[in-house]
Amino acid sequence: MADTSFEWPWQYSFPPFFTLQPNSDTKAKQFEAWKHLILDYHKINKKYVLDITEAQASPLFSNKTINRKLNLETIYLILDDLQKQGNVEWIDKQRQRCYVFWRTPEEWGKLIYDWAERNALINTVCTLYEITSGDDAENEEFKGLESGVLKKALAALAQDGHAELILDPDNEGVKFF
Amino acid sequence: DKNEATGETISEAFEDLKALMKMAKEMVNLSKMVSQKLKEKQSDITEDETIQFKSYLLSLGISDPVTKEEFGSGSAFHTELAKQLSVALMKPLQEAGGILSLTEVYCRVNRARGVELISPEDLLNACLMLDKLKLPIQLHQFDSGVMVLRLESYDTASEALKAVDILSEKGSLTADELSIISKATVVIAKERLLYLEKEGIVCRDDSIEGLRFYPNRFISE
Repeated sequence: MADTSFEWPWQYSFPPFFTLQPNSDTKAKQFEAWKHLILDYHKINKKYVLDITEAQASPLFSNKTINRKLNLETIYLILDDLQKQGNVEWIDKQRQRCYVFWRTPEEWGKLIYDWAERNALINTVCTLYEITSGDDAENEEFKGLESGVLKKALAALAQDGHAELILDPDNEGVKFF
Repeated sequence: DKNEATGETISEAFEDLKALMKMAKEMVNLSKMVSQKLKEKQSDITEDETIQFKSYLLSLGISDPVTKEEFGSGSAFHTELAKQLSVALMKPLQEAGGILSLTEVYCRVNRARGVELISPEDLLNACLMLDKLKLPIQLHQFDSGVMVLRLESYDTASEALKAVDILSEKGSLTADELSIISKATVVIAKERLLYLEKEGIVCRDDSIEGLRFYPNRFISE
């Protein structure tokens, strides 16, 4: 994992960052910093899904050098905040796993559509595999995009009439318009 | 024989005690009736009468807060005690930096008295009078419920800000550490830190190592 190249913000080595602040102004600033950190961390590491059980052990929420970690309750509070601003979507009802949209599905959709235009793929059918792992996608940001997020992105495109999803389980694909 | 005699004395004493309790019970009933009457004809009764009635109640040890608070805010005894406290506590308060918790005050007062001790309730009631009597010492209750006596000249904000200097020198502080450096008690040191937190000047780090306070870099950076 690319953890080493990630540049942690100053807050990450500041012990109070890992304690829920009772002062509401302070808490607002603290949460702002956490939300940035969570989105940046997923972006740099190209991660799309956050698993709560794994998250507790992940360096994102626990800094071993200062021996502090964020408790589960606070993690949920911050994720709730992110959900409100549209950057998080729960996958299961038990709230164990969630998508972290450091780009919204609409933004992903636009990137993919631009790419399709550039590569003259309009009015043709692509497999989902081609989009995220094909040769043409080698230098694109959406290379390796998680399939759930990809489908959400394409669904967003479909809503604007720019794509049609073909959800045949053996041969998932999309047609761009 | 000796045992028998002791036993007799004891049972005699208990008999007396029973009689005494019966008398006291009558007094309680009587006082309840009187306070009921007082309530019925409020206007006819002068302030002095209720005060006198209150001191009767006090000597019995019956508390009747509802009617007591309605007629005259405290007793003459508490007023006198308040005056005495403000004289006696002047010096200890100055030595302690202008603030003492009520439990500390209680210890100091009763140790000094030796006999005729006061009850915690008496102390509290006397302290509740301080403000009204315009005495130079005031009772204050923190959000946490801790009660303290403060000199009139005591300034919470400026005292708390002194802790900020210590904090920036040390990097972070627990209530214990602050209490040692500033020579205040732990309770008061903690209240100071909580005050600073409420003002957004410090923030907390709650871990297994304890509750530490740091300068609030969330706001300042």
